[in-house]
Amino acid sequence: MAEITQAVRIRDRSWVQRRVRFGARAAAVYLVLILMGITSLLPFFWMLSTSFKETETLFEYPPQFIPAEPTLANYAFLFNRTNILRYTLNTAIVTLGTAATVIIFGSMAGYAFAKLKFPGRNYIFFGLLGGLMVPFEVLIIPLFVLIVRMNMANTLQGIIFPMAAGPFGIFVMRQYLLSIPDELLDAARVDGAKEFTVFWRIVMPMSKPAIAALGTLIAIGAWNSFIWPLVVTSREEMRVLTLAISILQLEYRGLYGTMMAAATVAFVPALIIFLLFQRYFVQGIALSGIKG
Amino acid sequence: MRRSQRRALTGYLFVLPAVLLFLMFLAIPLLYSAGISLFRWTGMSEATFVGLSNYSRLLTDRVFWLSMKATAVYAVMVIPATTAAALLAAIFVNQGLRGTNVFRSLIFIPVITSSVVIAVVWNFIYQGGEVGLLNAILRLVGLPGHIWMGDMLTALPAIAVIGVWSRFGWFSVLFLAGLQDIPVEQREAAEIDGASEWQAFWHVTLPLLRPTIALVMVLAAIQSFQVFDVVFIMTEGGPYYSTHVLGYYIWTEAFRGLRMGYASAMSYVLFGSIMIITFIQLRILRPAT
Amino acid sequence: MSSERGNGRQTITRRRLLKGSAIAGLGVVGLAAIAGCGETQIVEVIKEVPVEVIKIETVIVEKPAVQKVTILDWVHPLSAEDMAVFQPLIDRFNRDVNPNIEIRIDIVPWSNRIQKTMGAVAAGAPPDTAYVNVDEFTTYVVQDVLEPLDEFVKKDNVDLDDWLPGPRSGMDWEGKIYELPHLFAFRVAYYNKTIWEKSGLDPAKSPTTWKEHTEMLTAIMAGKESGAHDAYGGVYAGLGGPVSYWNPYFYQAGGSLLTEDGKSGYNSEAGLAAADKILEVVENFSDPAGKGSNGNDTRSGFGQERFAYHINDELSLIRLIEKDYAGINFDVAETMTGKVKWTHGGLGCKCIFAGSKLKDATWEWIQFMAGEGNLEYNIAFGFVPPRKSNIAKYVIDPDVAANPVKIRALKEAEFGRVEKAPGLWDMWDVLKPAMQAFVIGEKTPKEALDEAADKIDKDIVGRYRGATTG
Repeated sequence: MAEITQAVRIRDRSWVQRRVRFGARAAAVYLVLILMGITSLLPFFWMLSTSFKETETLFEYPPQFIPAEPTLANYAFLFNRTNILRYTLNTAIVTLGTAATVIIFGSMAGYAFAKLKFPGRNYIFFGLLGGLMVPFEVLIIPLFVLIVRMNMANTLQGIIFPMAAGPFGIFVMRQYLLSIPDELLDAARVDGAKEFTVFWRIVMPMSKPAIAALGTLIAIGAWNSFIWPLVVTSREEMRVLTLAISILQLEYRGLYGTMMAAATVAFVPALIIFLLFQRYFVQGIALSGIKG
Repeated sequence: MRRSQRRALTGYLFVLPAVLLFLMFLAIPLLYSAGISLFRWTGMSEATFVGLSNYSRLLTDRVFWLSMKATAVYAVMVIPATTAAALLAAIFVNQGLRGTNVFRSLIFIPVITSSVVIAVVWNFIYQGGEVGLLNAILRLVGLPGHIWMGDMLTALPAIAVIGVWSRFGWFSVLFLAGLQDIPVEQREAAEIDGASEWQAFWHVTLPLLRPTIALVMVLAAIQSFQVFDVVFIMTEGGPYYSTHVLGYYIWTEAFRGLRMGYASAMSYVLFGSIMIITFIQLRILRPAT
Repeated sequence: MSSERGNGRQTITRRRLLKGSAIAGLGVVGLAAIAGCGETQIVEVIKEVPVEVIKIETVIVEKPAVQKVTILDWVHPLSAEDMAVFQPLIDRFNRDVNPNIEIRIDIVPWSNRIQKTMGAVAAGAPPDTAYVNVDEFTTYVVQDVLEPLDEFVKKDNVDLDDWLPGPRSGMDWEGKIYELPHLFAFRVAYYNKTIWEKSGLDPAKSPTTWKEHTEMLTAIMAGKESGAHDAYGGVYAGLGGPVSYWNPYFYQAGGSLLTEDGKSGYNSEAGLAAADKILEVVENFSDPAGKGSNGNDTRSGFGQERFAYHINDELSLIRLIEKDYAGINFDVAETMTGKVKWTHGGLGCKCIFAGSKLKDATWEWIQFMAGEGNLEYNIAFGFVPPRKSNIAKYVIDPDVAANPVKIRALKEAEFGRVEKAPGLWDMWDVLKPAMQAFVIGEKTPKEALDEAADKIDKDIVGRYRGATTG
C-alpha cells in the first residue's frame, strides 16, 4: 500500500512539474518549429514576391518582401512570349506517364514478389533491388544512345521509360503487400478467380493507400526531374518546366522576375499535389524506409 | 500443366513487364557503361580499346582528386547536419503540441521542390553585394555581407546548406515514423526511474532509433554523393574546383570534354564509392543484437 | 570524294527522274524507296551530264514540284521569341528559293549545344545543319562530323572574299571550307558617358591603350570616392568564362592559343600580363561582389549604371540597354591595343553535317541564311552580317542608320578576330578554374596558368588530329 502511494505521489509531483515546465517547453518547441518553418518558406516567399516585381525594383535596399507596386508583367511575358503552357502540359504528361507506369508495373511485380511463389523469386527481387544504388550518372551515356537508337529522343515516352525503370515501385508495393494476410487472397482463389482477377479486384483496391503514397512520391519526382529531360530532348516543344527554367536562367540573362515567375509556375502544381496527398506522401516515405 | 507450374508461370508473367523495363533501361545500360569505360571514345568518332587505362589515369588526375575531395567534404557536411536537423524536427513535431503538424508540412515543402527551382531561388539569395537576400538580411541586423559564391571557403558550405535545407524534411518523416513506433510507456518508465528527459532521450529513445538513424545516414550519403543539379546551375564547379563534385566532373568529362570512356570509368568509381559507404555505414550502425 | 559527289547530286537526279515520271503525290517514304532502288543507275547518268546542264536542271526543278523534303536546323536561342524571326525567313525561302524544302527549326539550349551534337552524331542521327560556333567547328571537323563545302562553293561560284576578314578566317580548317558564317557577333567595349562626365573625363574619349584604361578607370573610382556618382570603374564576374574576361586581355597582350611547338600559350608572358591586368581590374576598379557572380547579372548591371566601363560584350547588349534601360547615355568604346588591337570575333556559322541525307537541300538553305536572308536575320537579333555585300545594305537599314551606337560599333568590326583549334571549348573549361584561382588569391597567376597549360598539353593538345593553332 505504501509503495503504491509512493508511486502515485511521484506521478503527481512529476505531473505538477510537467505542468510548470510545459509552458516554457512548449514555447521553446514552438520557437524552434517556427524558425524551421520560416527557413523552409522564406526562399519560396522571396521567389513569389520577386515574380511580381518590375526589373527596376529588383535590386532595392532594403529588400521589399511585399512589392510596393506588384506587377503581372513577368507572368504576362511568360505566358505570351514563351511556350510555358506547352512545357506545363509536357511536364504533366511525363508526370502522369511515369507515375502510371511505376504504379501498374510496380504493383504487379510487387504482388508477385510478395504473394506468388515461383522459382528464383528472391534472386530476381534482390537483383532488382540492387538497382536502387546505381547512380544515374552511370546510366546517362548508354541510355541516351539507346533512346536515340530506339527513335525515342525528343519524345515524351523517351523521357518516361528510363525514369520508370527503377525498382523503387516494386520495392514499396512488395513491402505493403507483405502485410496483407494470405487468407484473404486464398479465399478468392478458392472461389475460382484467376490470378489476374485476384490482383485487379482484390489486391489493387486494398493497396489504395500504398498506391497513393507511391504515386505521389513518383509524381513529385517526375514533375521535378531535370537531368534526363535535359539530355534526351533537344526540341523546344518537348521541353519540361525544369528545363525551361534552367534555360531562362542561362540564356536570357537578367530576366530575374520572369525566371521567378517560371519557378513559381513549376512549383505551385507540385505544392498542390503535395497538399492534396500529404497524408499518403508521408506514409509512402515511412513505408519505403522503416518497414524495410 | 501442373498447378505449381501454372503458378510459377503466373508469377513470371506478373514480374515480366517490370523486369523488362528494368533490364532495358537500367541493367543493360549499366553493363554498356562498363564496356564504354574500357574504351577511348569521343562519342563522335571510332572508339579505341584501351583496357583499364581509364581507371589508372584516375590516379594521376588532379582534378579527379579535387572532385573526390569536394564530394567527400560535401558529404561530411551534409550527412550529419541533415540527420541532426531531421531528428530535431521530428522530435519537436512529435511533442504532440497543437498545430505541430502544420510545421511538419512546412519543412516538407523544400523536399517537393525541383532542384532547378531551388538553385534558381538560392542563387538569388546568395548573390554578392546588397542584391542578395542573405546579405540584405545580414545588413538589416547590422552584420557585414559576404561574397558567398566567390570564396573557396564558403561556396561549398553554401551549397551544402541547400542540400540540408532541401532534404531534412524528408528524413524527419522517417524519424517521425520511428519515434511513433517507440512505446510511450518505455520512456515514461525511464522517467519514473528518475531519469531526466535528456537521459531518457539519450538512453532510451536514441538507441531505439538506431535503425532509423542508420537508414537516414545511408540515404543521405547516397544522395550527397550524387549531387549535381545545384552545382550545374549555380557554380559550375567554381571557384577553383571548390564545388567541383564528382557528379559534375562526370558530366563535363562526358558531355563537354567528350571523354566518354573516362567519364564512364569515373561513374563506376562513384557507384563503387556509394556501395562501400553504404556497406560501412550499415556495419557501423547495425542494431546491437 | 567521288562518292560524296554522287551523293551530293542525288537529289537533283532524283527530282529530275520524278519530274519526268508520273509519281506525283507520293509521300516522302515512297520517295526514299524509289531513290534507294534506283541509286546506281542514277549516279551513272550524272557522270555523263556536264556541269552546266546540271545547273540548268536545278533551276527548272526549283519550280513547284510535288516532292517535299524536310531539313532539320538546330539553332540556339538568341531572344525569347526566335520563331518570330525564323518563320518569315522560312516563308521567304520557300517563296523565293525553293518551295519544296521544308525547314524545321529546333531551338537547342546554348549550354547544351555540344552534348546535343555529340549525342546526335553518336546515335547516327545528326541534324542536317546547325548553328555551329567557332569554338566547335574544328573539333567536329577533325572527327569527320562535318561535310566539306568546297564542291558546293565551287558549283555556285560563292565569292569567299565577300566575307569580312574575321569571319573569312572562321570558314576553313585543314585547307577545306566547312562553314558559312551567317552571324557576326564580334564583341566591343561599352562605356557610360554620364559617369565619364561626372568623373571629369571627356565623354568623347574612351581608353585606347591599357595605360589609358588604368588612368580613366582610376578617375572614375576617384569620382565614386568623392560622391560624384556611385558607379565602379569596371566589372569582373569571378565565376564567368574566358571568352568574356580573359580573351581580350590575353590577345591584346599578344598571346596565342597555342605556341609554335603546339603547346598551350596560356602561361606565356602574354598570359601573365593578361592575369596582371585582370587582377588590376578586379582589385582596383570592380565591385568585390562580382567575385561571386557567374556573369549573368553583368548586362543589367551596366544598364543600372553600377559600373562605367564594360569590356568585351556582344552587340545585342545595345538592344537590351535601349529596351530595358532607356535613357542611359552610353556608347561603344574603342577597342584597346596592348601589343595588338583585338576584340573577340564571335561567329555563328552554318555547316552541313556529314550524316545529312539531304545535303543539296541543306546547301540551298544555308546559302540563303548566309546570303539573302542574312540581313533580316542579323538586324532582328541585333548582330551584324558577316558579308560586305550585306553590310552595305545593313548600314542603310532605317533601324540601324538611326542608331548611332550600332553605327559606331561597326568601326570595331575589323578588329574582331576568331580563335580556332580542335578542343577549344575544352581549353576554355580548363582555363576557367585557373582564372578563378588567381582572382580569389588561391594561387598566383603563374601557378594557376602553369597548371592549366599543363593540363591542356596533357589532355587536349594532340588528342585531335592537327591540333595546331589557327
